[in-house]
Amino acid sequence: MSKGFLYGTNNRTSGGTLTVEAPSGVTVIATNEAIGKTYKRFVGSDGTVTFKGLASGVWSITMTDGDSVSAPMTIELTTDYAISLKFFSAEIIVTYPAKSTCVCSHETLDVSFTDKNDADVEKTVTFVVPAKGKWIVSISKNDGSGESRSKTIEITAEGQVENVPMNYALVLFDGTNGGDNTSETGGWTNITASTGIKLTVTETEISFRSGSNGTKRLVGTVNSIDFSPYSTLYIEGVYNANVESDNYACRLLSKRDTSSSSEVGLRRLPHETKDVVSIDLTTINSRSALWVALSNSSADNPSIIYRCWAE
Amino acid sequence: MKIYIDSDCKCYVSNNGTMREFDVPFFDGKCSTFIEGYRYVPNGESWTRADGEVFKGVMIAPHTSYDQLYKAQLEYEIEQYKAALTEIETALGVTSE
Repeated sequence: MSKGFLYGTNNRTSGGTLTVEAPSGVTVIATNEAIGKTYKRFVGSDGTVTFKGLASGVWSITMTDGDSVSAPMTIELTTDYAISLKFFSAEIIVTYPAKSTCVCSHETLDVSFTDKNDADVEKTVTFVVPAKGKWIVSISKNDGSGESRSKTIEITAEGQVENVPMNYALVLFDGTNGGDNTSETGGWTNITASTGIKLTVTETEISFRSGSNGTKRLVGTVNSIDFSPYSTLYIEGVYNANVESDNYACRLLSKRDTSSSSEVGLRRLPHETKDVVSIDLTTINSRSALWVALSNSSADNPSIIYRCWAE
Repeated sequence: MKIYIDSDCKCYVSNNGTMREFDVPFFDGKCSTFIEGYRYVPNGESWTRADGEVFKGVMIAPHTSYDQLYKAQLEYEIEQYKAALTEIETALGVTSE
């Protein structure tokens, strides 16, 4: 298994000697495939080894600590050459759901790590990654359902630490698959007390009209939603009013009422063309109990939701 | 309510000369602390979160701890209420005990 990448500096002198600074306790291996030569040197406490009298040409340098071998560094040696080697490491700290398996794999290198959680609670695991680049963190349920989620993490610096919370999506409404998730939402009903509201919830969409032009009214989930594990709320929807206005929006409420002081956040719905939009949840600390509401101020033009979910 | 946003879409109650002005009803009745804890992404624009997630406008969401903003707004409304009550009492020629 590859463990590290090598980063060296060139300090040329006369002769054909390769001097290598490396962590003590590793073995440095110099290989020239063209002439079929391989040399090994153990790095003692002084942290330096030399390969004297190396032939000119292309040499591949790796190091191993006995458990793993670093990815090779290639040099073209024509005179004395000196390099410094160190293992690269960064941390990807993943918190992932109960009864799931987490895999952390490099986008291009053949390096991956797996962790399994059989417990009933979430688990945090630290992956010490040996290379820069893009690492794909994936989770999948152990029950064979196929439900999974992935995120890409970019590692750019030695010692970088990335905390990655992973969760499966929380689906509130999916017009392509069953409609309303009533076990979460409790259904969608009027928040504004008005008999003028026209609210229709089918398996494919939620359609809502205020019933009075210019009068903003609200409908929303019956239940508050626990958004604590999620960072973004997504809404696929549209409205077709003549004017563009925040009156046609998805709103997050700290209380299930029409008071402006209950409004925590807002995302205007897409105008005229169905699209997916989103609201940032990360700075809403107390998001364990928020209601999702829709607003509309038209007698004839509905606010329509096709999907609503959090990740 | 007129607010001003900087290049990071963060809201301000006054313009330092470099900001853009928007009229946003969401902030009607809100105190300065509350407003300046929010981000307003205008229509047709977008803002990218540190993890790379892109949010298109119009989006209005806090950029600082919402608990603190809520507390500030609550204190503001209590002060508004007290001021209003004092005015009423003065007008009626009574005082609270």
